[in-house]
Amino acid sequence: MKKSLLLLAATAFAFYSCSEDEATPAKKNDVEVLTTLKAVFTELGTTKSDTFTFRSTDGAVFGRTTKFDTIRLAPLKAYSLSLLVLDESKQVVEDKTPEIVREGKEHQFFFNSNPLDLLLTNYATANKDSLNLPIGNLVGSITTKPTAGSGTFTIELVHEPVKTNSGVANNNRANAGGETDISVAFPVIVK
Amino acid sequence: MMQILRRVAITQRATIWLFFAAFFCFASTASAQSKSACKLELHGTITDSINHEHLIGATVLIFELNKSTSVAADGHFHFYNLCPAKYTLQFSMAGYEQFTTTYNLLKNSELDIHLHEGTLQFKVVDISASQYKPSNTASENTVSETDRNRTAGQPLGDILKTIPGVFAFQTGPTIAKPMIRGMHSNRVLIVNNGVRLEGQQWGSEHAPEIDPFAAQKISVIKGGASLRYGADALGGSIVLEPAPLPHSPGIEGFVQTNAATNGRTGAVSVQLEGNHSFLPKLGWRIQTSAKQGGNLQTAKYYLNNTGVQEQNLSAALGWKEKHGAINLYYSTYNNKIGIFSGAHIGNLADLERAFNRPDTTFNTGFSYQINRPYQLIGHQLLKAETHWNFHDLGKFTLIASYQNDSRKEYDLHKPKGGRSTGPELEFKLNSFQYEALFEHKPLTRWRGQAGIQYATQSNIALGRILIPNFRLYTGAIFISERYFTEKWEFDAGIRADYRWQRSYAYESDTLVSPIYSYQSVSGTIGAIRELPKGFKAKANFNSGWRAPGINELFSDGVHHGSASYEEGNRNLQPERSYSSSITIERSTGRLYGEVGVYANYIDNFMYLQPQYPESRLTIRGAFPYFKYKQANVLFRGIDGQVSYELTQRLQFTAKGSIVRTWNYSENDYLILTPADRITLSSLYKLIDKEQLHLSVRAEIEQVWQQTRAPKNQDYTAPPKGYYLINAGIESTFKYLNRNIYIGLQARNLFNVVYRDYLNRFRYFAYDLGRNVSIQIKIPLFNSNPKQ
Repeated sequence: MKKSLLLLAATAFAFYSCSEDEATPAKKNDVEVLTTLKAVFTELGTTKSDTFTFRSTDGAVFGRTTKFDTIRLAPLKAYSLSLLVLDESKQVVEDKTPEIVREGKEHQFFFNSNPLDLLLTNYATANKDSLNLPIGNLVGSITTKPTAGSGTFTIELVHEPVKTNSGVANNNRANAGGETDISVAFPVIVK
Repeated sequence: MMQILRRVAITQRATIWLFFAAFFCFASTASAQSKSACKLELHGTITDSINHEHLIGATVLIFELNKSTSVAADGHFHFYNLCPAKYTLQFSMAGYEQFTTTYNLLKNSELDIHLHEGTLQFKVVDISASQYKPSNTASENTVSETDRNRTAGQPLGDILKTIPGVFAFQTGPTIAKPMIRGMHSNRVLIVNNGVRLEGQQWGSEHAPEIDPFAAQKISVIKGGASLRYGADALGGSIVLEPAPLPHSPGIEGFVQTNAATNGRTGAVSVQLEGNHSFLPKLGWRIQTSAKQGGNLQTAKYYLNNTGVQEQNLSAALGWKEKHGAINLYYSTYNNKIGIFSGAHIGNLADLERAFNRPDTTFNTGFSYQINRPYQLIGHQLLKAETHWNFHDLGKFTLIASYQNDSRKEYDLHKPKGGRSTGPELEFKLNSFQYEALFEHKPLTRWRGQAGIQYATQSNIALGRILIPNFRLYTGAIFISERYFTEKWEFDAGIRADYRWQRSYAYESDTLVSPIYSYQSVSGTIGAIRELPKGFKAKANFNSGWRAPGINELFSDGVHHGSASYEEGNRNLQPERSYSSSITIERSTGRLYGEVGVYANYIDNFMYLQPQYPESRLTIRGAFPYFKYKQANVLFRGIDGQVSYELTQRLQFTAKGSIVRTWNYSENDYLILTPADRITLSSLYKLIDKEQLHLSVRAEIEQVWQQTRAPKNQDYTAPPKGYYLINAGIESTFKYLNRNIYIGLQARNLFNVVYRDYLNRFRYFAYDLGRNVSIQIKIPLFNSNPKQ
């Protein structure tokens, strides 16, 4: 009987103690989050520029949209476009654009205007990667329609597109495959 | 046989019945001259050695066959359809010492066994596998030895599909979760070696961290709360048990392998166990298995990045004393699973493109290479158990266990900044469980047990935020009793649970740590009635409850792969089930099997409800928005398996399941309800001798289209129905005094193109094409080395 109790007690041992503490979670999400897309339109031949922003920062991963601008441009004007991709979820805002350009072969921006002639993108003027295929965070020329109008302008960033597929180097998103990192359909008013 | 199969190949549209009729004609002529030797019966009684009272409920195990039965209310136990052979029989009963003997069965026999209360037998065997079970008035099925042999090397989710009413809920071909009567994940409990498996069960893409090779017995209890293991098993429980440790001198072992054409997959398991005459109280076992597979194939193309690599090890050590024992168990499971790269999508438009892209987009040929995205899983279990018999009281058991579960998920793309080395998503879960059980000494017609349990858990989530860290404490007490009469057997039990959970997460720079605590009671009541002609009827009613899981409370974000925005609900209340089932079974005669009907009503059932037309706008575009809600739902259905031995050589088996669900709050069906299915198979024994068994098998697996799917909850309609033809040839034979098994199986023999509703990757790719596999099981030593 004594022996039994001893053996019973022998099994009541503690195995292991956990060294990490679940009560102190990592303060900041240490995985990159793309929160913000800024589209900077500069009228060609001038230094006059306007910035339009989409931002969603509030939630855990993809949050609530906190800023969603309408692109307002004048008719029959040519603009250059410069895109900025930011991670504003961190204490110090991180500009992700240089990284996208550095890994340019794996990234491509696509543009889609609805109606088609609302904002006419000259895709040939997009910046290129080391294989001379478009990246598209910089576009040399986008022309607005001659008369007033409204619609949407969708900007997409695709990760690992197949740039050599038919039409992809010429703004054909459908053939590009890949995974969509950004897809923002800005409302547009040309007036 | 081949003739028949060819005929089916030519007229693929030939009906199932035509096929079976043809096979029937062919086989019955061939069987006319045969006689099966495996028709012997073994009956007996088990009585107390002093007062000669019948020990109702005492169990008998035939070790070689892993077949067990118990003494029925009339004082007898029965085994049917046994082959003439020398068997090791183990008799056990709580409060009595177990008794082992070998018996040479040559004709129908009857045995009278007297068990001694608390006296030591020289070769005492500790049959943990046949421990008293508090409730089996619910439907309980064990995966048969033949099915175990045929499915060797497959993941648990696939092995369990052999049981009617159990389905595999899949995330691509490499991840399969068991689904019981329409419920899965948190509502299905997995008990491995007496310990509740604690992984990240809430995730539909988190397969159970189990090496099936390590389990000698795998069984499923369908429907309802488990008194012993938890009230939250609303769908059912899966119980895995290792073989009892050897306590008679000698070393035994076996090697088991599986090689399959699809994925060029290979798996091997080696097991060794022993006991030595210089230390007869010590028994030991060590088992290890490994598996490697490459890209799997549909009927048309390879699925890129669907390889798997697995290495497992388990070890057990037991010390047997006169009145009890101490057992230690350790296991480690390590798995790397490739995720089909075509299933990784960024937004809804990507998903639409995935539906419409050509079949071959991701057909990059065969490779064993596992690239991103993949999962890296590690699970360890350490368990200590001791039990002691006290003559005048009963049996006491103490169990303590520790589990460490590590889950690392690597996305398709390396993150650009920050966490550059680790996985994009990581969970570390540490669980401790403590249990004290008391099984009272059998009183004339009463058997029973009571227990108290305590468990703690801590979860750390790193990387991409999905669920917060948490700390969890649970406690429970339960008691169950069973009463026998001549024809009836009743059982009833009650369980009380308490659960305290605190989560920790930063919300806008503030640490938020809400506490959620729940307590409730669950119970079960049931009866078994012996009917004439070997039939048995079982009825069970139980009520269980489940507290909201961490994901149901807190998830907030886009679910990878499913392109939906899922939002938790912090106001969820526990759900409660009212489950009833009736099972009719028969284990004798030429017609045998089991059929069960059930209805499971769940109050406050937690599920993801689409918020259509509302959507969530993110930088990746708009996503369909789903929120955890509660509803009153009903699961009901019928499932079963019936075999008929037309002749001694020819056997037909029909297996089927029907599940119906209804959401009363929304007046709609529930998503992911398994479609109706039936499997018809016929087995023909070509040779049926003691030294050599050889049989062929043909099977049709018919799955209908799910026409009862909810509106606006899915991206595409449920896929069309399909049928697969499977076939096999297998043999057990004696060579060098060893029983060797060799099987050759073909699944989806005609390489049919199909998609399955329960596979979440059906949006992206077809299901698997033809797979031909070979299984071998060889004992490492002579089958009778001990004297």
